[in-house]
Amino acid sequence: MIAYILRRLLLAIPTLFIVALMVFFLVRMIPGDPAQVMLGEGADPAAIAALHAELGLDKPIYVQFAAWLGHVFSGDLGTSITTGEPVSTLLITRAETTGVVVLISVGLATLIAIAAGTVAAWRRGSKLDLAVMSGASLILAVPSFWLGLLLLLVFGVWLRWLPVVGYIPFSEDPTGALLFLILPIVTLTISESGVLIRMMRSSAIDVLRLDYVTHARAKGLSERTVLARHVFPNAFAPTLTLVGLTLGRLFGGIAVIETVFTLPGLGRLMVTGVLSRDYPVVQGCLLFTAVIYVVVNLVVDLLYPLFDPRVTVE
Amino acid sequence: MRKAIAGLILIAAGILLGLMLLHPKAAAPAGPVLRARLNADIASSDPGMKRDANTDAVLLHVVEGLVALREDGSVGPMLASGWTVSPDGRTYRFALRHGIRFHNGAPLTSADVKWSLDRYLAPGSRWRCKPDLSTSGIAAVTGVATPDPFTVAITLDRPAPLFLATLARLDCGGTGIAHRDSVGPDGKWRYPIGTGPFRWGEWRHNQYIDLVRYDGYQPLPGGTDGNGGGKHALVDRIRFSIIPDGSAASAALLRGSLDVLDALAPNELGTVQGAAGIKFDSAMSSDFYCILLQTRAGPLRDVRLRRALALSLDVAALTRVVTHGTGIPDSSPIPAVNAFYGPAQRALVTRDLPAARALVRASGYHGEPIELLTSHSPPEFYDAAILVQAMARDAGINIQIVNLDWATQLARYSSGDYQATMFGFSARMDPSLMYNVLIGDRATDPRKVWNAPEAIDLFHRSEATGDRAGRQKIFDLLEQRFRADVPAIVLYNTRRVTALRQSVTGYRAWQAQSQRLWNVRVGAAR
Repeated sequence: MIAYILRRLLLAIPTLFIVALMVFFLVRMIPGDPAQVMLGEGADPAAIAALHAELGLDKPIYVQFAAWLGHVFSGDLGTSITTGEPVSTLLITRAETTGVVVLISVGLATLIAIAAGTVAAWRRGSKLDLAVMSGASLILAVPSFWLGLLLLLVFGVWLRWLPVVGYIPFSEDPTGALLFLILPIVTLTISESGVLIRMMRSSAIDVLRLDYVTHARAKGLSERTVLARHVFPNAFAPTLTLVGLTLGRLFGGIAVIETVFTLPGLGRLMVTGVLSRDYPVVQGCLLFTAVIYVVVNLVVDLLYPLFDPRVTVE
Repeated sequence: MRKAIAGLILIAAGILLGLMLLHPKAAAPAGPVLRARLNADIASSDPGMKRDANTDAVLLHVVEGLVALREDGSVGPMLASGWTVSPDGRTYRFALRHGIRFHNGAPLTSADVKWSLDRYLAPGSRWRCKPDLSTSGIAAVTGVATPDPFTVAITLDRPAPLFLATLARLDCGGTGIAHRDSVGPDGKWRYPIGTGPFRWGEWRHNQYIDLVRYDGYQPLPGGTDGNGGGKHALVDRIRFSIIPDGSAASAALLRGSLDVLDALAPNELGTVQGAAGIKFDSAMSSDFYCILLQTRAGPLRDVRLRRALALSLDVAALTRVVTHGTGIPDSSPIPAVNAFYGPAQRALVTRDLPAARALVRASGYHGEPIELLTSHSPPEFYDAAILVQAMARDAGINIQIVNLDWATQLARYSSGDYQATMFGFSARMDPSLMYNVLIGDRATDPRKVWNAPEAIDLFHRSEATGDRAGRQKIFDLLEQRFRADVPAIVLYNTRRVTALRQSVTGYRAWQAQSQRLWNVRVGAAR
């Protein structure tokens, strides 16, 4: 097991190097000048040139890349052009916000998907199945920003149960932070549960058709036992893969949710970084996302044998 | 399964009940707090150095300059009680007000003023207005002297009637005077220690900026007058919350989590208009939105085609639609609220399709595509571009819209790499400053769209002339040349709309487009 983990981590190094290479050059291919954006439309060309020199943007691009890569290997992701803060500090503080929202939301969405998808498959063709599938389709059709604004209006403005703006870091006051995070978490949970429900239902239908399920029923096992012991573990494996991909995608940023709920998360950091051409921030965010993808997929692969005995970690 | 569902429902009900009992408070500090919104974080806390409009607005609560803009755009005293100009027009002697103390308790002296001015003008400084106070600008500062602790003498290399107006400019950070302890021993900027009615509190990047009432503030007599006048901090604290999304900001105002929602986008007006407990304040802005045209290459090199494009536009209708009825159509680079906006500027270029088509034919244009750059910053840019495209088509002009993000559009504007581009220029109080964004040598500064020698000469004369009547004549001549050459097509001026909770009193929007939260009170009935 440990050898497998180490091998996977070693294999990730070239992947991350290629990501770093692509990120660095792609970001610089986007038209726009960070110095110009920072100093504004009426800025003095001499001041722009001076800022270029200060930021090292006047050097050849391969020199910039070598310098950046050298710093990355020593754990220094650079300094934000716009705020002057170290990128690693920004990533850590922003990842806390995004991480809490994403982990809780995906956890809840997975639980909902397991329950709703399995029941819908078990009662396939019934009104219950129709209701679950209609709900999942509706969720897929509704944009998350619209849902967020709707929840904000209902629970924040009309009912006044929850705050509409502001944020308290989880590390400072977990209870207070949770109040500000409820609406984003609910929005993201609903948004992500649609596709997971459909996947779980589809897998469960396939498993329910198999002979060993019929055999289990013929043995006289209760439906609950059949579903819990025989259907769920085998049907969940594909959903688990999707959960892993979802986690990786969402960790990369839930920019829309974070913008609507004014959360200082990774997504907003990346979007503002792109808009202001803050190269170090964008590079740091994308590299961080790539690392998260690698780690999450590794964890998912390690969990896979728990649900599908045919898969072994070797 | 039924038990599980029932359990889930019970848990959900419990959570909702808990929430109803909790009645959470927003993360606001204790004491009377005025809560305002910024649509983006500030660029820095260093006035005029690394800045944008939000930065200027926030920092002008903390620092003050020798002079300040008045409500009507003229220049009035601030830290200086008065000033004299030498007969040759080159030396300005400012008398400082007595009894002024910085937020750290240190008294304001001429040495502090000199320290700040030297820092602004130092080699390597990124002060926005450094180029304006250089040999290529209105005049170079050749010396700052401090004959006594309450007198500052600034000498220029030539007379410059616009010198005081430049010092007071918002984008120059009002040439705010900061205490030297604002800079750390390592020479790096820490935070502003100024003399304003509020002192620097806390800045949480992308979340909020808190300013705290400065109890030792010495106000000028009178009430709100531009960035000067009598300023009084009537709340313990100001919290500027950074809320990028307009809908979320409107929801926060309606909920009572914000007291002041400034710069309400025209398309957001409908969400708060008519809501209980909300009122509005507004003022016409000293800005202008336009289409900048490429006069060096491509079909628009022909002035007849540029004139045809101008005549194809129904600017009044476009303004009505794009600004949701809040803006006013304008054909002049001098905004309608400006004191120099006279009959020559007021005459609107109206739509004349037969004339436009005749000019198109005369220019030999045969429908070659003309790219019009636009973006959603602000959203009205895109809407305006769509309308321009449709209106120009009626005259036989084939506009193709290229939608970009702001940074790309800015880069294309800065390099002059466009045929036509939507663009807006924020509030500038003096007409020379307005023309300054258009007139200049395109070969050395590609941002300039108008390099006719006559225009450049008139522009320099406008900078060097102090007499009001003489300046009006110059601006009228410039207006004639501008309409004949059509290097740009001015479309409209915007109206700055601010939505306020009913409990807020004393707020006044003004032409400079910045929030002023001194002399503003929040009542108990929030």
